[in-house]
Amino acid sequence: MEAPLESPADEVTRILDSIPGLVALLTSTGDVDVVNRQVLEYFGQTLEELKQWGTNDTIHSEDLPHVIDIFTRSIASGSPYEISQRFRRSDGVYRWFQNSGFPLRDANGHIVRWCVLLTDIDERTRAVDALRASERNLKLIIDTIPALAWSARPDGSAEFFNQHYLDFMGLSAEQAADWGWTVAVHPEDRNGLSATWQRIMASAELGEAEARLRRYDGEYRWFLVRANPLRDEEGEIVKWYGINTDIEDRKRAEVAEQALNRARAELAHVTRVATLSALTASIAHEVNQPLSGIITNASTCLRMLDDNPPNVDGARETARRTIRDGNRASDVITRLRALFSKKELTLEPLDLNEATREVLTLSLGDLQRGRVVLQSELASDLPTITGDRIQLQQVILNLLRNALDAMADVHDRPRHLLIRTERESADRVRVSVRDAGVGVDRQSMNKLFDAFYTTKSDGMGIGLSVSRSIVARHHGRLWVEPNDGPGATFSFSIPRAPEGVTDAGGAGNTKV
Amino acid sequence: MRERSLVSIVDDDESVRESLPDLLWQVGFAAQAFPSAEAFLGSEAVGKTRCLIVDIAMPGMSGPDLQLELMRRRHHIPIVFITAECDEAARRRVLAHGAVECLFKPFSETALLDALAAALG
Repeated sequence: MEAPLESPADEVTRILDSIPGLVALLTSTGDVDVVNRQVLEYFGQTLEELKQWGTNDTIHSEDLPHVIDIFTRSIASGSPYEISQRFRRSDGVYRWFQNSGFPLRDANGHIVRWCVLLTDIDERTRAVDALRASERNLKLIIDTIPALAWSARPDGSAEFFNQHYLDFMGLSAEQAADWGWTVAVHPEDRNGLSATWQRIMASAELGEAEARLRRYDGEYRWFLVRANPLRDEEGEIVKWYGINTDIEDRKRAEVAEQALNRARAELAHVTRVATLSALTASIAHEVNQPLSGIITNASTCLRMLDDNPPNVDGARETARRTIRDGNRASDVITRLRALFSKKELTLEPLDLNEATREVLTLSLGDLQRGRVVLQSELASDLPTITGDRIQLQQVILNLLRNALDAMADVHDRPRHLLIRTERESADRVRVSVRDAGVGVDRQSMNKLFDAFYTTKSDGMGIGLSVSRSIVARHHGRLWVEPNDGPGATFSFSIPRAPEGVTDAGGAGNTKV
Repeated sequence: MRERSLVSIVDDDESVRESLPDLLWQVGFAAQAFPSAEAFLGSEAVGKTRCLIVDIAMPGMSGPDLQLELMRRRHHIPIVFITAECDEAARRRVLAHGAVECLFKPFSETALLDALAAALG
């Protein structure tokens, strides 16, 4: 049995209805002519109603002008169209569709119909929108987080900067791209940051660096730069992500703290130098005691020998005590030497002018009391030297005190004191202290530096001996010259860097 | 033989207590040494001492303290101070309070004998 033949119109309807999509056929002038079942079901409208799509909310009012515009022009020109727009479903909900229309032509090329396919892209569109929103949100976050965020390629060149970063530097994304951003790095930090960045990339691990970055207004601020690698499945680095955090305030606090520590150290140092005079007094006390015994015993000894008959036993006993007291005094000196020589020299780069100024400041009171006319000539071209700051200051202090003492009894002329620093040769510097005091005579010049040799009524003759040993440990020398006029000049000269300065165990045993 | 005048020595430094009495004996004095002012004040020597040689700085009662204490007790003993510290101000103070002399250690035999002569003169 044969099925009854369908009419061509029925066949078209059946085909259209079996297409899993919304299909419509329009007349050559764009009027809705035929729609499939899916269209009727979706819109919940009759064909007659659908023909009025331009006036009955079938198309979302926001999209309508745009749709009419494209559609009208396409019908007029005969070229296919494609529009993304919203159509109202039977329940009143608008869904996004891809509306594609293309002309059907006869053998002569005349348009006989328009075929229209409506594809529901609502979910896709929403997903894309959500993605866009998410991206916008992410971008907003990235651009507004209070940090400079960036990304770089595996070769280290910059790829992305957040808006905050670009605004900070005052650069456009194009200017900052690749290595352009490095113009904002402080010149002093550029090499360091570059080296650290290379090291981080070589290690292929999270890393950080500190550097100053120039703000749009020219002010540099300290940043902590952190970089984190992103790897692909093989573990190869595909990108670096980084964040720069402003640590200017923390850095300032650090600097303040460092300054505070420096001030503390300076204070401790000043105190040490200032206590030198107290130390000298206590040394004098300790040495004076046995010296007193020596003199008394020696006097007694002589008297016992002068007795008639000589008291030899008594003399022997007092001579023995003399030796013992002599040893006691010598022990004091040994301990004193140990005080200056036990520790290794604390070598540091040192500005002798600054060290001299400090000593002068500390001695200002004494200089004023001694009515000294102080003149200082500190060479401006004095190179930095390597030495023990405190010990060299003690030498300068000692020379200054000696000069002061030498002028104590000068009343017939001004008490001129000249302290001078100068570059002696390419790698030696000299400090000299010239006084207008009693001066030195040629015979006693060499003895001046011996321990216990003194020309003063109240001195012990230790200062110059210790000073000379300090200078010797800096591989320098300390000497005295009589002036042309009144007074003497004590000078020491030391090499800029005392090569091979060893600890003083050796120097302590050296006879100076 | 004429009786020797007693010179008392008060000093915490042993070498002084050891050496000074011998020298004083050699030049004709009797001498007795005490390690502290308290020891001297507690001894019978206080009443017999013709001259006192005292260290300024001592633990416990100092030399100047002893000077004031003796004045309070109305023991008018001439005092020669000795000190290892070259402290001019301290020297002026004790001299102002009536000390015969104040010698800085180390002092010469001559300086000491001159001071004793002045004290006993």
